[in-house]
Amino acid sequence: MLIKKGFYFALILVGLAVFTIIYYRFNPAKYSFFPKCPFHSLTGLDCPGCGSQRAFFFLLHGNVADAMGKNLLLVISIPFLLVHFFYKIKSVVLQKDFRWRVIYHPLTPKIIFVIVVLFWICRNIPAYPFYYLSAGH
Amino acid sequence: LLSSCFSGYAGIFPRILFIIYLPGINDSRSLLIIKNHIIFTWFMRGYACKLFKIDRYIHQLIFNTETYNNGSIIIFTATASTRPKNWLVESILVTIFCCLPFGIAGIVNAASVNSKFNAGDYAGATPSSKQAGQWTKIGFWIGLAFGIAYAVYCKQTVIMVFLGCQVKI
Repeated sequence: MLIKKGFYFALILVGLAVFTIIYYRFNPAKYSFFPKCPFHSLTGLDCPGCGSQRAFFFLLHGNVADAMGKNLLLVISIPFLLVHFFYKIKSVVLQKDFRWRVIYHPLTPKIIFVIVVLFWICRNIPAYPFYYLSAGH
Repeated sequence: LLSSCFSGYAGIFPRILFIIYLPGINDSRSLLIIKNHIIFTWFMRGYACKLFKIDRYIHQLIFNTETYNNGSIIIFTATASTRPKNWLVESILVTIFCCLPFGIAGIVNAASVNSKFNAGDYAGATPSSKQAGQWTKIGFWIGLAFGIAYAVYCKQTVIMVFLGCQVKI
């Protein structure tokens, strides 16, 4: 069980390293081989994940402002993800199950769901303040 | 006082927390008073978890009493169950990076896992957790397959870029 967990952990680390190198080296806005969002291609609307590849590229180059312009949700979620993965790494290293309690509070998923849906709606409104949430500007 | 301390991993099966020997107490009335005193001072749910270093969730405490000629014994047994994984972070990652509605289905199921477990529905929380995991995995694999398929579709560009040609479109 623990060996299996460690194997997955190593696999995830290698995958993350490969993706980081690719997204650091190539700008998704300039190279054509990065996958386009199927929802955006079909409907022309932005989904909550649209612009995250460009935002990731800008984040790797330390450009937080441009990353927030591409996908605000990604930039906001990163501190929370870091706390969660700190607990994950701690539990793999110390071989004991540590969990962040906030993730298991009954209100947390509901709040996140509301935020995601609101973000999805707001970024498709072609009016002045919401325009900056869209991925394409 | 006899006490066998409870520590480490708690399964779904009950385990004896500790046994208290009360010498000289035979009548059921004073035994009940002592038992209730221990319940109300020590075994408020979260406190018991801290006291016995259980990071799991105790959902049932059983108190058995046995009376003998020269005294009586209280046996405390706890049934604890592990909190099922709620896949919240994974479904957020799928929502952000795979741009498919499966991530949102995962978030909805994570909400039902948390609220069911906190309401005491331990049997119902496990299938919800399984379903959340299913949605998240479906979203992840479809997203990854779509990305790889797109890269294969553009394979000429990929090969030329990785060979060092400056191909920009």
